[in-house]
Amino acid sequence: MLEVGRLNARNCNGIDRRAFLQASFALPLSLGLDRVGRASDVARAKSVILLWLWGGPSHIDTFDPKPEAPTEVRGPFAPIATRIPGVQFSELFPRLAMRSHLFSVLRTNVNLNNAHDIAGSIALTGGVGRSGNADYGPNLGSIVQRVRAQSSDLPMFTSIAPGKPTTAAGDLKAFGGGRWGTAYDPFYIRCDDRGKIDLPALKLLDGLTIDRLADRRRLQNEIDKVARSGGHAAQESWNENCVRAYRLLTSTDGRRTFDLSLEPQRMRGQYGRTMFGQSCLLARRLVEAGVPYIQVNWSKWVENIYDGRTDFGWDTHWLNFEHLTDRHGPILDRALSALLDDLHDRGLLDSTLVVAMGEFGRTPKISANGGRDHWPNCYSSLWAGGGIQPRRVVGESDRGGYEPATDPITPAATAATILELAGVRSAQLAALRVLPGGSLIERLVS
Amino acid sequence: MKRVLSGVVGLLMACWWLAGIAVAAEPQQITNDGRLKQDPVFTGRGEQIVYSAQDESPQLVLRRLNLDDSRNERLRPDSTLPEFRPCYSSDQNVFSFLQMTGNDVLQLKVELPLQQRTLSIPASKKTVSHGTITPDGQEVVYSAAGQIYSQAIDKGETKQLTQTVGRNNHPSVSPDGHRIAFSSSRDGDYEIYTMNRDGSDLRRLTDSRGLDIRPAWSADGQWLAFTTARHGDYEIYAMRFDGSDAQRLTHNPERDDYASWHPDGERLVVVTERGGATDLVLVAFEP
Repeated sequence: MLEVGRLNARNCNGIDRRAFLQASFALPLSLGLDRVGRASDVARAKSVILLWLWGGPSHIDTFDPKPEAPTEVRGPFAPIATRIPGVQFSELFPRLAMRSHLFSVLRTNVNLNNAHDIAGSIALTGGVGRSGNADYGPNLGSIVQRVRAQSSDLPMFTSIAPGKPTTAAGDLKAFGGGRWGTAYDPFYIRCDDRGKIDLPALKLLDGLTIDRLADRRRLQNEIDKVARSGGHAAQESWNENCVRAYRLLTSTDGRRTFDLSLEPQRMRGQYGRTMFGQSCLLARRLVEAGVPYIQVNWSKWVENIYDGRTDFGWDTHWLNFEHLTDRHGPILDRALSALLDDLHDRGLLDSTLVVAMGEFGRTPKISANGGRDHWPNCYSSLWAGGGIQPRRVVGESDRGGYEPATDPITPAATAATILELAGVRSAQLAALRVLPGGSLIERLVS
Repeated sequence: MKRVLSGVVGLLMACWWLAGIAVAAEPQQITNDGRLKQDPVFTGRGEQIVYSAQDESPQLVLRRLNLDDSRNERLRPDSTLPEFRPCYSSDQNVFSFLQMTGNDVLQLKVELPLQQRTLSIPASKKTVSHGTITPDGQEVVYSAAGQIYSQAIDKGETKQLTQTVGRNNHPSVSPDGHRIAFSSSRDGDYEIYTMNRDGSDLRRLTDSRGLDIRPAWSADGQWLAFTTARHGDYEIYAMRFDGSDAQRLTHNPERDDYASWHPDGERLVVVTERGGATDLVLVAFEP
């Protein structure tokens, strides 16, 4: 079901200045901005899906169990075998364990900070900002958007999310364009557990309905009116962006892309009737439509226990084992397994890079509160498709999962690998003055 | 000829046996919205089920389902906070549930309608992971930070019942009030144990690879239903109170979880996932 909501404009016949400015910041489709060369034609991943596990999953309770560690470290979950000889996962992930021939696991990720907003910004950009933590580079999706050529009306960098990632202490800084500006922020799509889609950026006109959107001539007249009323570059840019965004919905292909009701019920069920599951299904549809970078956010809020705002992030200081048993484990296991199966069955996995990661792991030693706290020193991520060699475990953590026993994988290396596989070359990064020093994780791809 | 005949008879008997299993195992679906659900419990004589379910805002609310007319409504429609794990005393006069009230604050709320008051346990800003009421409504038994505690509702005295390595969770008090069943990882992964109300006389009931959690007593105190991952995904088993005669009650390639007994002891309500949709089903039980 596709829903276009209301907004702050006066009426459907005119767009007031406030709504105009909001729209110009909300819509990231910036054709008017210069591109820095073209991405290489040999991009192995036509699309990237980043499953952003906001809050930081425990590596020990997911993909790097430590059954031989002391009780206060290993936790209550039994390890189970995968299809990779000698490699085990937590028992909460039986479906993924059966599909380990489709992906590889990194077990020595490290981050540079242990606060969500900073570590998350580092993980999503590849490093700290130019002038410290306050000035982050653009999100990897923003870089892909800027480098890759626009190939359709669909947004280049799309975030399927219940809202901008945030914490009780403040927002995630590097969710979008950062110092490049809001033009490179992601195009947000909300998808609930029933597959209901909401496009916040298109909430421009009071009373706007999908039927009225279908009247393209009337819509174009509305947009032309706005263009004539102003005249400066921003308005023209907005006009162009607006046309493209609306065309998304007024075109049959655009509307079909976002309409999950077109999927067979069996397929929708495969992903699980959860917000994350249906979001993963939508991500697959966006891949089919040619969107190059899709970030699926697990939650808006990082906290797993909060007030009425909670949507059960991975920040499990308390109830780590309860929430992983009840919600996080089964939901992630089902949705990610379905996504890998679906991409594989459609012949899309080879050209789609799928990465599942959070901003850090969680403390190997269980806390006095019965949970696990932040742990950036060593954690895991899961990689599939798009040039990744499957069936591998890259890196080894020490006996307790405290530190890497082999070379640590930095956020810069993680980011460089994603971008390299997405066809962004180091020369282009240098020209854009982003992500200096990141190098490809060779053992994942060769 | 005799061999053929005995083969046919054997085949027919096998079909009859398999058909019997299929009929016995066929659950009765009682919700159909497909949204995430957990913690169902029967109330009264079993005419209603109270459970927690995915909603919009807050995202986890208590709901009440009437089994006779299928009316389904929010139990506490004015609440703006996530609530789950409902529990009632035998006489229904004491009601408890977990409520998220802030960042990392999760409390057991105990409603005492006759006294027109609500208790918050623990009173300090700590987080409870599971809570239940003793059948007589005099105490709450809860787990917090991996250990199990009991607290007298009137006096407020707290006793720590476990003090072990590993996680101790999902306490459930027997109908006669004498024993507590719970899950613990003290010996490795989660297994089911029972102990006296004061923490003495510990007995381990399960020994399987994979988690065994959420024990639930039948009304006559003879059986314990529980969730197990011994077959890979979550399934429901029942065993006698001493751990003997374990029986598999669900045969579903997807998740079955959160079993709770009907007062008649002949069926259980289970949260089941089928085709990715999560709903409540009634599962028959024949010992």
